[in-house]
Amino acid sequence: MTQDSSQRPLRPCQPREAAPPRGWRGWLRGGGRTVRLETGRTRLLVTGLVFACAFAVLGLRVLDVAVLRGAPEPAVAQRDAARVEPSRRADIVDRNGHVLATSLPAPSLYANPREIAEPERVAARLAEILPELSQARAARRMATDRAFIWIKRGLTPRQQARINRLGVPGLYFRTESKRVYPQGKLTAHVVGLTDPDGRGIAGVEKTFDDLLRTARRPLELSLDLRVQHILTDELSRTIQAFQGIGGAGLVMDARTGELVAMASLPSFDPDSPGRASEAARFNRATLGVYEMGSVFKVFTMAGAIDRGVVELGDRFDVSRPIRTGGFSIRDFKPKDAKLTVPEIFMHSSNIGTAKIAREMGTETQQATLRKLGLTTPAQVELPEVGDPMVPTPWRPINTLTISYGHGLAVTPLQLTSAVAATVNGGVRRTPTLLARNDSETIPGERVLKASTSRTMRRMMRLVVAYGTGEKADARGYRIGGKTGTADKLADGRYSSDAHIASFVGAFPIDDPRYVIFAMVDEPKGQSRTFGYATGGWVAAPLVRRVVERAAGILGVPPQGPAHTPEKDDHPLLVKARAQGEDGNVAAD
Amino acid sequence: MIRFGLVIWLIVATGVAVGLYHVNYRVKELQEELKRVERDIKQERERLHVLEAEWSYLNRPSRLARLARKHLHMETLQPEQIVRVEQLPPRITRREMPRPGGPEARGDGEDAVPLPRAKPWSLEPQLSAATPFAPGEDAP
Repeated sequence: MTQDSSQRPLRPCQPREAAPPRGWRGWLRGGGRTVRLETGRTRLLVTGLVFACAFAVLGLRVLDVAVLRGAPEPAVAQRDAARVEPSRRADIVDRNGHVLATSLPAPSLYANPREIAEPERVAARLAEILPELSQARAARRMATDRAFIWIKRGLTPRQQARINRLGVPGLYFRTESKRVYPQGKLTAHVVGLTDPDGRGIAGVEKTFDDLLRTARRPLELSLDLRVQHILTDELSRTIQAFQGIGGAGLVMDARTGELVAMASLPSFDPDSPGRASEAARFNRATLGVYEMGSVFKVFTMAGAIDRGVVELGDRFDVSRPIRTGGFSIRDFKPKDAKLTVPEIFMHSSNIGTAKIAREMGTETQQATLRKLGLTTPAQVELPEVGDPMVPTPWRPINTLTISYGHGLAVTPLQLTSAVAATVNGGVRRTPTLLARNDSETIPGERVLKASTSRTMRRMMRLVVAYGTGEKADARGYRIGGKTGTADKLADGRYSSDAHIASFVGAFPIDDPRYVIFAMVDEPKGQSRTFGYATGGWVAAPLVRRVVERAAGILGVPPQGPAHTPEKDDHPLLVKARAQGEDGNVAAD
Repeated sequence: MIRFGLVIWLIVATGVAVGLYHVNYRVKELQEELKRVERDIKQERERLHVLEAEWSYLNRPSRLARLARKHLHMETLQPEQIVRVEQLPPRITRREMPRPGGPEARGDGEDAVPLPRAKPWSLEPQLSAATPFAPGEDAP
């Protein structure tokens, strides 16, 4: 402290000796020194008061925030929702939550070619570790003057460790997100694929690409992995047993339109899609269009009965082939008789069905098929949807052949969906691959009368009980269905040795819960099937086994040994016969 | 007097400064710990996620089927093996099968289901709440 300050302590508010202001101010005030001092003091006081008030307010506010209002520290920290960014693509799961597609962190290898001294040697050593790597190409790319090239994306941890051990400068890793399909081939066609940058390029991955990028919850499909496995397993066994070139299968919930299983064989490994052939990548269930053969008789019958064109008791002469325009319609197993409508359906008579179609007319047939969705592409959450091949113009001869499934090619999905509409009471619902909750009311469009649907169910049961689909008769479950054997078109002609064998069935047929379709492409006759490779021999037993294995999983209780009347006593046949004998014979 | 006040204030100011300094460092420490914990959580989540994928991979139906064939010697479930509860054979009644030492089965609830060690059928008429034969006798 200086001498001066010790004598005169610092008191800012005390009046001090001050020299009178010079110049015109001092002259103006005229020596009012005390007044000036008083003024200064008052000013200082006011300023001090203002500041004191401001600080008091601040202090009180601090007290208020810190002590009075401030809650204690929360015991459990709350997660800031905004900070959890969807860093990876959402999972895809089946209806039971099993993971079908997920994103895992995987190291990717990149190189800085400027830092690599010996590209050839490095490429050779990398090729030992990464068998898929093209050594020459890698060497060429590493010899360029760029600063960054990808070498291989999505390494396995083992590959990463081995590359690390090489100790080559200029090679680097970057952790990326890699799409992984734990179920592999099993759901490949439905789930689809993504490219290395994580963009969906096939299947559900493509359809819901935007959703999967942003969603935080997994996408739940309607598939049931267990049923999918059973269907795929049985289908591949059958294809093997009959030396077929492929096959397709579908299991659809008849009430909701949910696809519980969808198989297309041969399949491919979605974790290395590059190695899959074009045929394996092809989804036969939704993209492939096929002439389905006799299973189409379901729709001919349904249309004719719904419009009242025929009565069940009407008889049609099936003893002679129909000849029109250099084309003859024959039966696979000719019968020399007049058959009633259920009998025509049961024995799968082409001649009888064509005659019914002739009675029905082209207009009615077109309307029926259109309402059942067989002439327009199916609506389903997949990009791979095939357009049906509809004849233009639709000549009378087309009407006849389409009645038994030739001349109109549809996808298995369309067919299954149309059969579901036929047996579920006559309401068509859009097929879907997304799981529906039970509370949801599913919009549907009535396409057939409930009574028609009931009649069709009984007739489809006849096929399995006594007709061409006998091998689909499962123990414990009443299946109804229809077989189909279609000749394949080859070079514009129908081939006699390349067929498509199919069966479409519903169970329990009295109140169908599920519709099952199975199809085998080009099965060859075996000695144990006496050379037959028809729908009844190939696809019908397949569907039976799928039902026997999957019904329990699907929650359908077995119905116990139901009484099946003798064929001659079956009410539908007896009734039809009685009606027929009443003289109600249709003129043909 | 004035000096005393000044000293007090200086002490208080120093105390506050030191306190603030400590709080500041403590906060930084906690922030670092929070970051570490959050990083750990993220890592754990990722590990969990990888394990979920592996779980799904190991639970492929085809693999389970192969393992079951190899180790379990079981057949595919047949439709005949599924029955409704009503179709089950009658349960053990108290009269026929006294259970020594064990608690008496009550005839009114689910705990009346017989244990597997008892023979699972009875020739006696069923005494259950659903189809009462002698309700007075079986009541608890």
